[in-house]
Amino acid sequence: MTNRVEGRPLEEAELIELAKDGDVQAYGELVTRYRELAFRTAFLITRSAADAEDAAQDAFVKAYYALERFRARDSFRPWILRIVSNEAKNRLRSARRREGLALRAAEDRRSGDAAPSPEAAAIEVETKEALLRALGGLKENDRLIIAYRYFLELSEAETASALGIRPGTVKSRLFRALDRLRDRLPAERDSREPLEATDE
Amino acid sequence: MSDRMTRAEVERSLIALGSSLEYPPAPPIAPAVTARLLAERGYGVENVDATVIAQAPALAPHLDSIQETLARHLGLPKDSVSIKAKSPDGLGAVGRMEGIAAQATVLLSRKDPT
Repeated sequence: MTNRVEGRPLEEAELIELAKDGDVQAYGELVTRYRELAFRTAFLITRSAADAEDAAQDAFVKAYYALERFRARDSFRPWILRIVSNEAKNRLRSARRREGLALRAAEDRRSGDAAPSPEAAAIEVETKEALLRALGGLKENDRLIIAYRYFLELSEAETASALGIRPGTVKSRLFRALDRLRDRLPAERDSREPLEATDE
Repeated sequence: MSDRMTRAEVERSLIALGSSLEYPPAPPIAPAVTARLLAERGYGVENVDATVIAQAPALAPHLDSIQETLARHLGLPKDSVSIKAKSPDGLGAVGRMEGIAAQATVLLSRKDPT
């Protein structure tokens, strides 16, 4: 395929140039670097591991054939995330409707295990569950902008690219989504309290 | 939480939640993608002979499932994929457990034009 200097990992720009020249092996290295982020992005949309895998795979194949249109001065990460997001949304449209977020927070660690990060330890299990339920009830655009920014930790520019919106609108859309999430949190709490009272 | 959380509190909680979320394990997408790209050029993967070099963990107990997973993603029968594990015996970056290395030889065949 290509003569490489043994032992030196290739820079992303080099891999892209090689892939543009038809080097499938170089492209495979790019796929490996982004597979986890791509899979998680697709999973947040499809809420199915099998659909997320198919969407990520199809997206990487499509991206390979679209590499000619990729501009060297741009960042590959938001570009591939946009393609993954579109593939995942297409797949979701053909799948049956799924409720909720299909994610759950890790169990609190018992003594003897590694301590949770300060961030993870900062909120109660009850709050995590309420947040996940409230997120699952939001419309897709609100749910995704929150998940991209806070769960995948995408920058505003990356979030804009993945959602196909202008970078200048990310902040305002995010604020509106956060407000709608806040609106749902007390409602979630109120709707749960009678059930707990009945169980007791 | 009977009082409405502030936006800042929600943001802090989301960051904390994000660090504790559990996702399904990401599958090895690259083998399937490269196999599809090669197939579209008229090449098919006949077999794979791979060696994983790692100081730790011990891979021997996992070789069978690695072989099965790789074969499934490449669309090959299991016996067309060979996986071996080798120890670097403490040498180099892999020996210092700074990473894991893999080498693979893949036999491609040109399909007859249809």
